[in-house]
Amino acid sequence: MDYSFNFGILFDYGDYLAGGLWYSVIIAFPSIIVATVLGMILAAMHLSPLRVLRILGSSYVDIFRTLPVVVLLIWIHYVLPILTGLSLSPTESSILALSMNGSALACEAYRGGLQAIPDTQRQAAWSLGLSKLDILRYVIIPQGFFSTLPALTNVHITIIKNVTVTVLIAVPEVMFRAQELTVQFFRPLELYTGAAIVYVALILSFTVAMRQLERLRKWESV
Amino acid sequence: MAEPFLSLQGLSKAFGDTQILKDVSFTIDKGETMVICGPSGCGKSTLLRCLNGLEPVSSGALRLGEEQIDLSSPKTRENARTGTGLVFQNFNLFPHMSVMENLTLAPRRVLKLRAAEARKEAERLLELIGLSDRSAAYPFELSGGQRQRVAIARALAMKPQLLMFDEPTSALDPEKKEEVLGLIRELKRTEEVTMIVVTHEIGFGKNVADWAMLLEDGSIVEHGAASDFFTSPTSPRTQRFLKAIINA
Amino acid sequence: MLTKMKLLAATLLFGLSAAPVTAGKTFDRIMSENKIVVGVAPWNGFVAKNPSSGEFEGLIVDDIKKMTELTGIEAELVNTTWSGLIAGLQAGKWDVIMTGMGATPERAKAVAFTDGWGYLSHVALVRNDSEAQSRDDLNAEGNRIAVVSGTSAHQFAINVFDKAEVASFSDTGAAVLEVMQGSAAAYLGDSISNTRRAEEREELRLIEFAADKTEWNSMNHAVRYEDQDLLLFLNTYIRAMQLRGWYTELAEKWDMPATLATGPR
Repeated sequence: MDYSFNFGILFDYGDYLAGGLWYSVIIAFPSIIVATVLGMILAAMHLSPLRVLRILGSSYVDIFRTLPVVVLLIWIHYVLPILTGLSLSPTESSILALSMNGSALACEAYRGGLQAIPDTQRQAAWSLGLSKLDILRYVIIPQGFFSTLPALTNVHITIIKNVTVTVLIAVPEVMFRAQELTVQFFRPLELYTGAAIVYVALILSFTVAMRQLERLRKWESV
Repeated sequence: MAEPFLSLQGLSKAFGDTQILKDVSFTIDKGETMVICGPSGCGKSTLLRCLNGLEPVSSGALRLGEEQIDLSSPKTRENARTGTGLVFQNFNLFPHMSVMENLTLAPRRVLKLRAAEARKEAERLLELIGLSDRSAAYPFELSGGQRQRVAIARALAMKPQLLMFDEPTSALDPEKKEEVLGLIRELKRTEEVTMIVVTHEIGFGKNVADWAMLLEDGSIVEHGAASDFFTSPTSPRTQRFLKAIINA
Repeated sequence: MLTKMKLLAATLLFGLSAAPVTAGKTFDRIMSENKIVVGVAPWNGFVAKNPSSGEFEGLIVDDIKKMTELTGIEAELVNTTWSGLIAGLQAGKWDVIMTGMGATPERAKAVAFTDGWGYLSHVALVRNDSEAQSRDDLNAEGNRIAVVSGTSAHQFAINVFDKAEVASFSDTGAAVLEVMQGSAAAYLGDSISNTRRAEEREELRLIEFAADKTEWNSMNHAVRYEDQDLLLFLNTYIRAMQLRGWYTELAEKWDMPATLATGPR
């Protein structure tokens, strides 16, 4: 194919492109925190003895796990103001959309992680006379933390990758800046390659950080 | 004549249409040991779990010393958890806790012991099971026999009136079996615990147990003094069963 | 729905000319705060952020600055995408779209356009090694014509290419790459962007269509239909500036053809 690459553009405007990283980070990280906490609450709702809480939790997960993030984002940013008068900035809309989608995914990660703990652990603790709350606190959560971590890290990476969707509502993150520069300099392939490098770097450093967290585990299951 | 220390009256349990335990009753005196054997699926594990209050039952009353527990009521059933201790076939230690933490968690949270008291008792038990030097180890760092000994100590730390063992040696190789059986023999001598042991170790039953029972299809086939049960069983079914084990 | 809208527009227009002006919420706010929120989408030469300075630059940006200079109304520019422009206007994210959007009857069902202040035609971008010289050369069986979906060029292509296949893409970058790869015979877009693109990339060449083979589009600002007073205000500005030769001046400054200000001769 007949294409003369000119990566010089990345030297000239690479810092402008990478400057979008700030927006990627201030959208991804609050969303990750909200999704992690809300996902935990949703997973707890799934286990609740109250039927109404269980139904509420599973409906939330079913809706927001299946709704494409793009649709959710556009809806929050453009339809919500018309219906409610609540007009959010592009950054706020993005955090809200990624948190809602992310928390549904996180809930499933927690549920999978809890299922990985053998039922005999609960039985042994119950047999010793521990209360249900103590079993959760001392037996399930400490083990669940580590059994959930790999799946939860995947959810976090999905959230970071979904930040690129926010170009649609013009959040000036890396992908949007790549588009913006493409319009001016007609170098889409070089610029999108640059955007890819920035995202790969962000996700790799996040993964390395999460690995460190996994290293905290001093025990192995028997 | 004094009332027996432990008595179980009319324990029955059904799962759907299947009757798993049929009107099981027996008594044991304080410090005595009873061995239960029977073919797999006869209901022996379920019996222990019911006595431990882990499973709902259709009827059954357990008297443990002064305490009277109605096993058929979901509320009072849970009281059996603290009066009795159960050592599982696969140990079920908490893998994320050190040996010391495994031994002190329940005494602190359930018996409300102070940390120092719980530690002190745990250290005593570790000495008893011969693992004083492994208190900081995690379960994955221990051998199978060591894990089972820790599981026994964990149950003992709760000072149960009745200690039950669900095939405690079936997951171990022959050498380690002796390690665990020796410990149970030792407990009978020094701790004076009342015990029920589900096992097929005939030598152990002959030498250590006071009583023995054969369970089949949820019913008691034969129940008597261990010496008679293992040397001259009355029921032909028991004779066949013991013969099969010896030849195995 | 359309008749209802027409009725609404007619009533509003009539009401505005006959009765004392009752200004709408948006216009009231603009006048009291002396600030207008403007939605823009990047368009090379017209409005784009300079990556070095972070400031908006271009022909439209100059025009907006001129309006501020003349009226004292400060403009806050909000950067968005072409697809987000109309949705954001309807959602109240900005008061007006000023990014050279072409007025079409279809779009007029959704937003109210001002008078045109500039004019563009359609031209094709082909590879240097292409043998095509005219629109008829491109309209051949087996040819694919790349366009950006939803643009006026898209509609134009559908109307005039009966033999060639029209393939639409979500953004210009993708559509142009189709041509570079050789999987599309030409990219059809506006005359000004394509002229610049052909200058920038040596692999590409421009095909201008004969006067009767192209189609002209106006560039307009757009507001919500309920803001008729704002529309009136903007139209007054445009007409006055056309008479002063302002748009010809801007076309010269930004190195664009004089037809930008005058339209087809």
